Amino acid sequence: MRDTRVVIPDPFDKLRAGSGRGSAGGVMLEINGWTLEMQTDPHFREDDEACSFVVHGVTGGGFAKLIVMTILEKIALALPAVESPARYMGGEANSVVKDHSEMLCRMAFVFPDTYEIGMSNNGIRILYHVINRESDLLCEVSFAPWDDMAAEMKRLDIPLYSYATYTPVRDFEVVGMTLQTELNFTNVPYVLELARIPAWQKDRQENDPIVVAGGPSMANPEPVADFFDAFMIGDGEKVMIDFLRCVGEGRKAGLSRAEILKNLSKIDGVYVPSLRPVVKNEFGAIVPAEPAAGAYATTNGVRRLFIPKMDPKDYPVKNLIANMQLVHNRFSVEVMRGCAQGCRFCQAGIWYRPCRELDPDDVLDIAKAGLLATGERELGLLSLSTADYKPVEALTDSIIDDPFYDHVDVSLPSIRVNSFGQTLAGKIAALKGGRSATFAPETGSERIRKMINKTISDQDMYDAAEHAFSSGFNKIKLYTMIGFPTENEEDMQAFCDLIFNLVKIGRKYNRGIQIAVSIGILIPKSFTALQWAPFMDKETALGHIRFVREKFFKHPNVKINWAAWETSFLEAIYSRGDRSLAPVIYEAYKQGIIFESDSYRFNFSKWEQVWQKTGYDTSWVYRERDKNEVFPWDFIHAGTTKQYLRREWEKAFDPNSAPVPNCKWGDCQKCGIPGFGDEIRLADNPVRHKAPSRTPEEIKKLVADRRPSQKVSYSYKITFKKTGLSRFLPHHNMLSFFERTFLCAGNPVKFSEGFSPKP
Amino acid sequence: MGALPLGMETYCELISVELLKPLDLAPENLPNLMKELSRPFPRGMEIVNIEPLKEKLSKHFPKAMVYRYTPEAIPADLMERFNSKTFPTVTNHRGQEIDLNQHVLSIENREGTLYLKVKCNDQGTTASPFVIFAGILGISIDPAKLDEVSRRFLVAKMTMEW
Repeated sequence: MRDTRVVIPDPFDKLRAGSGRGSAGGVMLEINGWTLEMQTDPHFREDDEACSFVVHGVTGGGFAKLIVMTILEKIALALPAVESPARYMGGEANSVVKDHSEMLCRMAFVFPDTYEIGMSNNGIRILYHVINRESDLLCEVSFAPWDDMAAEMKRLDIPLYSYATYTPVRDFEVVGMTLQTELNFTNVPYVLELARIPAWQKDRQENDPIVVAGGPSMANPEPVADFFDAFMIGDGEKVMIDFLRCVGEGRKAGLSRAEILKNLSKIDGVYVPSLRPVVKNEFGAIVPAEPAAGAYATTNGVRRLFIPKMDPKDYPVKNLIANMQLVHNRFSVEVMRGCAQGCRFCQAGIWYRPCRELDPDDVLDIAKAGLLATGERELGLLSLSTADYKPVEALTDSIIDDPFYDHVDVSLPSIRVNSFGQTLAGKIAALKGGRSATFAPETGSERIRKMINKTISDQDMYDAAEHAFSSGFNKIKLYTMIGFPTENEEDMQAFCDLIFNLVKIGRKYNRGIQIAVSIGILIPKSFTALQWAPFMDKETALGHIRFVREKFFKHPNVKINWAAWETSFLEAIYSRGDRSLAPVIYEAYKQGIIFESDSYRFNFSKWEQVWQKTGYDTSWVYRERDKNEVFPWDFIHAGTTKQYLRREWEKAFDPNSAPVPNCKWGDCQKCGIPGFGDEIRLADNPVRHKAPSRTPEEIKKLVADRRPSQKVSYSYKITFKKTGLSRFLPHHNMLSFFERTFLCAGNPVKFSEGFSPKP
Repeated sequence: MGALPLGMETYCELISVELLKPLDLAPENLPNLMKELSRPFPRGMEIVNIEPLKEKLSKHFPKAMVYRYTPEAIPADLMERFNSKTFPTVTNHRGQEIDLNQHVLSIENREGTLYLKVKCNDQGTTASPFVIFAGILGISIDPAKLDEVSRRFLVAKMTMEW
């Protein structure tokens, strides 16, 4: 007797062919020359399309017993052995479940990072919503499993599966990924092979899904071009639907994979790498044979798409409710897309142009509906620079005026220094209790700020700090960078002087204030004015960081954190790399280098071994790019032209050049986006939700008056069941679901009194 | 009564909540209310009853709990050993000894599925059902690795007796 395991690709045909399905004794099958008796499992259901057969005790040429197990049952066997089973149990509330057989096209949206990160991502929520509102299209989500679950999946023969119906990802017509960071690149072959889909595009067969990616890393998809059949470049709300219909119609018409890919390449904003020839440039980089040329409207390149306006119908409300704590536990509304401040290092500033704002009445309607549908306690008003949202103060007034938000923590991330006026600071402090403010001066040196067109002065920083500390904030976080071209010790001294002066301002109001300085290292990115710049070498970069650290060593008011040069170096390779990186990425994955966004797992010496083994020369990152050099990403027309970026690069080193203004206020810089400013969509103050402007004192009184009396409360005994995979829901997560459900019902749980109230 | 062990099903878990507004528990409204309140829960988790609570839940403790498990095979002499009180004494993950003859109050075999009534202590908890089922079925598990091993038993808590 020996144990073995076989997987039958299409078990149901064989099941139906058998005469005794479900009866005692089962049916007989012949597999690999063995005659096998199959016993149906008591949990087996005919609609469970995803199953394989585990063979126990096969006798040589004789008789065996097969037990049918669904993916769901195998997951139940796997979860006891993993560290965080709630990550993999699926069945999230608000999941969309449709009849797969009725769909024109189905997409498995695989997030190539952990559940906690993926479920926090707003892009995945938007696409999940816009696809599933179409009656003939379907989207289900899946996430990269941590090593322990991956090992269990291999042991129990579980392919990567979708979380709503536990369908193998490889059974969907399309597998989509969003690449939020280059540090997810090694997870691409990892999740594909877990899904049993060939990692390399060239190895895929007719029945394999079309594998497509989108997301911010599309500003240079070339390092992973050989893993994908297609990419979607730019805003995905509309093109995603066209893409899925093209694949669905192609499959329905019996078109070959090559024909479907050819049709996909004709969709505006879709890039099919296998259909765009590449050549080596004079520096040895693999670049497009036909770079994008001409104006955006008539270019031969792949256009980065942007939706003309922020349509409230595209905003998701019934988001999936996660089974565990996430990186960001909040309901988010993207109030504005695009930022046209013109910072020369900033890829997002170019990539998301033009600036489009959502009407504040829609912001408030979506926020309230979303908070009620998900039971979240925090509202995130997202954008690249929320304080630049034109009606930000009126929106804040409306939120303050509505008692619905009394139980909601409102976050306004990414506040620009010169937008943080006294009024806004006071309102935010009154609303949120005034804890900390985050600013991004980028550098302490005014010379460098002028070079990168960060149009704020030291005085602006001092004014913002004065507003924050005088309004009751006790902490300021500063996001900064080193590694800019021409940066020297004088610039680092200016950096330290700025921090010393901020401390002096803060200590006037509170001797215990904290200034947390986070120092990153500049990574020159594609589609920025600094795409020609070299990456700073290790010795110089660490010298500059050390300069600041030593000045504030054990300082009672200042904490310095800094990025690891090694991680930044890898990102610098990825961000401007070419197709020759794909074999390196694959080798790294095979060496176990995955989940690189987790700093605890990052291992630079392993990377050095990979580069050595694959013969990859990394020295090019230190080279300043030639003026007329063709770049790997030059097949994309981002709207903003390369000529404009080059002019910006040259202006950076011209001490007499004028600052570039924020074009959203009407001063078009002719960057290449068509319309010369007509594409910009600014919002006006709310009308339906108009509210009076209040002083901080009035806000504090209003909030205090509205605070419900907790003297009267109503106690209930609730009996509940927890069955199926929900039995793997940890106790503390289960409790949080009760808090959530009563928030959804508009009947909050009574809080204990105290400094930090908890239910 | 403590936290439910990870991996164990329950059909009768209790929780008390204090709310700032009353709930409408009229019989005609209760089913819809429970359905609506269960909506944000993951698949498999559901509210099955709500009633007003006059005293704190912790003032009353259950006397016994009924657990369900369907083993691959049931020893032929199971009931005989139960009746003759010859079950072994086993140890839990804390190393405490559990005399199964004292803890198991009744056993019912319904077509291969076992229903065990287990005695609660004065805090309303029982010994681990995983340890108890392993003990009566003669399955050896390492108590030190109880979490990993025990979650493979699909044990369900069916009812509580007060």
